Amino acid sequence: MKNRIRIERAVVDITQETLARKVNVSRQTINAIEAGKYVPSTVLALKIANTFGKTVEEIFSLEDADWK
Amino acid sequence: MKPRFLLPHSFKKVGWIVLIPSIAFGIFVQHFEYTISGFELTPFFSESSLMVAGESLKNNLTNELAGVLVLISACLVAFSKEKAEDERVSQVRLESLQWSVYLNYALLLIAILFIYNEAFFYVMIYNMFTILIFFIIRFNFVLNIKDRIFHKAETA
Repeated sequence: MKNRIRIERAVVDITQETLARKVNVSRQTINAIEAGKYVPSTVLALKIANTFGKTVEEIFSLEDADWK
Repeated sequence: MKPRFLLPHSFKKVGWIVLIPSIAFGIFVQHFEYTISGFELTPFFSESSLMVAGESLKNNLTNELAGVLVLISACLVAFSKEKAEDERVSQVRLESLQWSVYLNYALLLIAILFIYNEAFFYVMIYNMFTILIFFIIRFNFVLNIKDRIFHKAETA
């Protein structure tokens, strides 16, 4: 699964730490999501998208590998 | 999955402070048959059942003390909350539990096949604690150390 979190963060110029606090997770979790090492739960994905004022599909997208 | 049945975070530090010396103490007691003099209790069962694997454990409670200290402090460390609990921590905890059970039984299988007699007695004793110990090691490694080693942690 790909995500645009790093890009969106740069757009609004906030750190991983700030985003983490907003959605109530640790900074390591945000880092792991950005690095593609962790897939967030639906609720967390919704919260992240909501923080950027976007929909989930605008931030997260499926890859072919996800269908296996 | 919200973490359930976990102790408050404050228990973790207490656990670590007791665990490290307890492990050292336990290994020391086991290999040097160290006993605290006079630390005994009247046995509840007959003398003959206390002769295990050719070693006379008599009724000295030093090894029991070591075992209890390691067991309880390892449980405190393993089952208390992290400072910041979130969904990823819960997932890592679950994965680590599964991993440690697999590893523990893989090693036990090898030990059963290749270690015999008195030496196996030591295997059994350590095996009582290795599930928890492996879990503690892997859980903390994945959460705190792994990303630092592979330079993945971003400070921005």
